[in-house]
Amino acid sequence: MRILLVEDNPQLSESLCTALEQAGFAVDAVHDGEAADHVLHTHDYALVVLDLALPRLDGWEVLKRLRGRRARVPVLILTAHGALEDRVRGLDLGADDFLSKPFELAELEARTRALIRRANGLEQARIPCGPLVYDTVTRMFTLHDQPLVLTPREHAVLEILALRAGRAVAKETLTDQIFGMTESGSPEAIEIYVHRLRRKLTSDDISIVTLRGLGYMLETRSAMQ
Amino acid sequence: MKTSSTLRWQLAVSLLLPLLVVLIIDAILTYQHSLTAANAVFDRTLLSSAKSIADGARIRNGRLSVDLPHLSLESLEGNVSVRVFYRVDDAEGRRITGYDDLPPPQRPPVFYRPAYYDAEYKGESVRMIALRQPVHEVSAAQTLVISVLVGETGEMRRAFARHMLVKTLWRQALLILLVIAIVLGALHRGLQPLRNLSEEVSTRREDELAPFRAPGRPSELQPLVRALNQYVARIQRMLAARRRFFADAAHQLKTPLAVLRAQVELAEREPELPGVRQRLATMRGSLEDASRGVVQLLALARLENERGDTLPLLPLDLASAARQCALEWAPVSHRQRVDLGVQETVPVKILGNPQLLQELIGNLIDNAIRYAGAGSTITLSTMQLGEQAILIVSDNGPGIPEAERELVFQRFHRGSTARGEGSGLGLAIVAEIAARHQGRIILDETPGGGLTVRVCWPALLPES
Repeated sequence: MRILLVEDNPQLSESLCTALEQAGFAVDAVHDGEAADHVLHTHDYALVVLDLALPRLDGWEVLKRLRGRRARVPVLILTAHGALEDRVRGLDLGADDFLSKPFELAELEARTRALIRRANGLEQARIPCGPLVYDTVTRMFTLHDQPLVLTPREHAVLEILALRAGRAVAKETLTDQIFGMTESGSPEAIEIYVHRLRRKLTSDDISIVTLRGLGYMLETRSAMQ
Repeated sequence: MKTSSTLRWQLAVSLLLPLLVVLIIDAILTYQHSLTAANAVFDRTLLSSAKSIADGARIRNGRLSVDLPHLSLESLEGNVSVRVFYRVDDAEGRRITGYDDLPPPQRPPVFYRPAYYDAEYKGESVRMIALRQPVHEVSAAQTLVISVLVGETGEMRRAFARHMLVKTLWRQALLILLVIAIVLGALHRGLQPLRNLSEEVSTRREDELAPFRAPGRPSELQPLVRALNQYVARIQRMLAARRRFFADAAHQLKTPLAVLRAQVELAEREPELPGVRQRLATMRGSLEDASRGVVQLLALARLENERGDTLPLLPLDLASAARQCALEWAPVSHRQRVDLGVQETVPVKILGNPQLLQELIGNLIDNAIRYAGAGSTITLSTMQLGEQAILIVSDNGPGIPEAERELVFQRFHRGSTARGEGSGLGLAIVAEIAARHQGRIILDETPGGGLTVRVCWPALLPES
């Protein structure tokens, strides 16, 4: 997974490189908009982390040119302003997510993972969530390297939760995706699947958290700390 | 209206005073003129009286005698207040009849030519006539000279003059009133452009900063319009400068904070030196507080600066906004071991700005997580009560004492029951956003302890 980091502040750039590399990504860092634009012409990346206030060519312009070439690489915007207009403008220009400075590294890593997963759909081979690993090629879950035996509905629920690990998933989202447009599924049915999944996820390092009135969240040990 | 009535009053006074002086001068002149006119009229009567007295003079046996024509004297005495005095002398000035101390003229008058003069008689001013003419006795071919003095007191003349004066004064007073009315009317019409401009200024929307148009206004108003436009331009420049300042401040403060946070977090991941890690954890806590404070302060400043700006408001469902926000905050609350939940809600429509509403709800949740603390329960719910859409965020934390509930909306105020770190800006932001949505906030105690925040908006009723 190669990520392009476009950030003009050298210390921040260095820290983010380190963090992203620790998270298992390969990172190319450039420090101005023109360099970014140039590199994006010639290289493919799994993700672009783009600061807006850049010398020579600002982040908006880089994004505009990128989308002008119909490049589909996901873009995570780093912004100091975080103003609402910025978000609206960024989304209109084709940004995928925003992170307002200052942020937690964990947040950056989580969003990076989520964006890459989302962009690649299920093409990425192995998605790890603590001791739970989802192999998207074989569509198999393993827990502590042991295959997890699941019914199709349980599999569907766990798949959705795993792809958004660490983030809350609304019950309606689950209901909609499990039962599709034609079937009418009840929220209670989801509760049953979650109950069964909990019994099968027999590890202390991973759990499905119930969010009262909201939905569920797959939580891994690292996030619990 | 106060100023314009003052202006009107000032104008009326500055008009009335000179007019009054003019009126007084005119009254004096009129009185004098009337008196002259009265004298002309009354002098003629006096003359005829004198003549008829003279006509009544006969020479009998070489001596003069006068048959007083009572009628002519009475005609004057018809007015009770007027008294008539007469005296007839012979050529040597010996009295023939009448009041002997009636003052004669200073010089004996020319024959047939009556002399008028004013004199003082018995303490009263009298108008006098002196007539000197010969009396012929044809049969005796004798001619003697008599002089007739007739005087009358001036009451009638003065009354006549007064009467004329009063009539004139009334006419002039009416004229002055008319003049004032016309001037005030003209003034009212003349000030209309000024009133129009004031109306335009006062009915402007808070965010309307376009220059006032100058053409079509009287040239006297042009300097005012120019001054107003300079002022408007100054405000625009000020707002722009402030906007730039917020942008600069955001960039200048947030980037170094991001660097610091990243560095501290990376350092914390290093396995060596557990003592250092302890210090780093403390440092990260402070950094998080600083970051949060800066972000909130800038958010609040931006909100306040943009207060006049028109906010794009969309119809949206408060219940789903609350749910959305709670979903976003769920991982945070879970990490803090706070049970964040949503109660069964029904859709409630309001007009709002989605991002600002998210910020409002987010701040309420953040506040609740911070102040209620680990192990507490936070519940979001929405409802519609009549025409009110209500968002409720309640927790079972320590709550806020009733006396402090007004204060917590002030910046940097932190409740006495607050634990942990907080900037004290969350509720100020919430209040600001609520106000921009015509909403209001009520702080209450949760039954069984804790804080319940209610935010009420006008609900968007279907087809209203």
